[in-house]
Amino acid sequence: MDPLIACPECDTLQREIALPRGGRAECCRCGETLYRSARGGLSHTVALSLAALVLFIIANSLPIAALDLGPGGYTQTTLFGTVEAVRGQGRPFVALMILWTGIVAPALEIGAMVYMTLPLWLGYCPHGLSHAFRIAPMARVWSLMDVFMLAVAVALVKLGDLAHVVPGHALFAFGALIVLLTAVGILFDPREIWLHAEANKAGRFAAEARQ
Amino acid sequence: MTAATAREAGLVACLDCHLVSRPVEGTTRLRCPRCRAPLHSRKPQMILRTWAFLIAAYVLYIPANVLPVMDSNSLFMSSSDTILSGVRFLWKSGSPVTASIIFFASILEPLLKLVGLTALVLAVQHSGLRVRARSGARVYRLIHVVGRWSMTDLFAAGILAALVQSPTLAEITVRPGALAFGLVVVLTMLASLSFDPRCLYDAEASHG
Repeated sequence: MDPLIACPECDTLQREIALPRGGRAECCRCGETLYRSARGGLSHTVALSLAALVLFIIANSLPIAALDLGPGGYTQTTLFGTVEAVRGQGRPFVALMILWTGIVAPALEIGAMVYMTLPLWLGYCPHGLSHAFRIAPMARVWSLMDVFMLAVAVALVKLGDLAHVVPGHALFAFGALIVLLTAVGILFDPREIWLHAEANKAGRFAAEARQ
Repeated sequence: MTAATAREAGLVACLDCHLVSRPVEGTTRLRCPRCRAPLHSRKPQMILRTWAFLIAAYVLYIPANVLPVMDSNSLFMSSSDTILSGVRFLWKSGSPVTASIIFFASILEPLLKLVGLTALVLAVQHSGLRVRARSGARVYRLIHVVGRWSMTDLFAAGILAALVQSPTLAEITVRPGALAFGLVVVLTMLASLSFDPRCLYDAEASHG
């Protein structure tokens, strides 16, 4: 018998049926998407999450914008530099909000994805899988990197007349990162995590029993 | 359409891993048997929590728009900008696109979000209002998607403060309005997270 599923939006019970690749199941009552059939499987999610991790490190090490003041000098800032500057002006809570939504939440999201998918793909079941599983969607809600991109553009326009502003290299990494994380969101099938976790556990028991 | 809900069938669905399970009798703090997330048939104290966050956000919406968000001081001029005066400045200085983005993201959107969530909570509290659950749920989904963009102006102020900080030439400082504004954004996000769209359908069903 097919397993039961309840729509997260209207709580209607339905039977979960197998979908063709790339298919999408809709709730019969409210039309909300219930689940998708993953296009690529776990290996795709692993690859994208690892790439996101690398890009995240690059995006946070390079300057997001620089200001060319002619003979007066040259200033530049990274994402973390923004947090520092706001904190230095006596606005610790504003700095905390930027730190949380711009750096910590995205880091948690990417970290949790890698922590879940990489060991599962290698055939292990990571310790504390259920924690990582719940951290990822929570962090995704608070991760505002795409908003930060728009903010850089706005800042550049605002300064346009005052000084010559140079967009930083980190912006390319941020742009690619946003595309990657969107792709992870589309390709990732949470149900697959539990399927793999159960299969990996069963596989290890079988191997131990053979010894 | 009269399909049974999980609650009517005595079951609880996990919002994290979507597993449907039958709660163990006599347990006070239910947890999902698969992913260990706390289980609730409906989000706990939904109406109370959502109202609390909404009222706090309404109150802070005033200082967020009245107090200056950013000061710019240079040798030639010095100005103190609220969000609205920042929009006006951008519009006059020939960047109508950026001005419109900031106007929608910072001023209109938080207000629409607050009003929208208020209407949704009222629809749950008074099923006599006969709000169509499906349209309500659509509004809720929309609020969830667009809500994040309100942070734009706060981030922009932070970037400017980091870039322009040579006291002799020019200096940009972040002012208290930014705090109130950031709190409005965070509080409306918390309000929309504590709202449970399933209650819209319960209210609709209870009224027939």
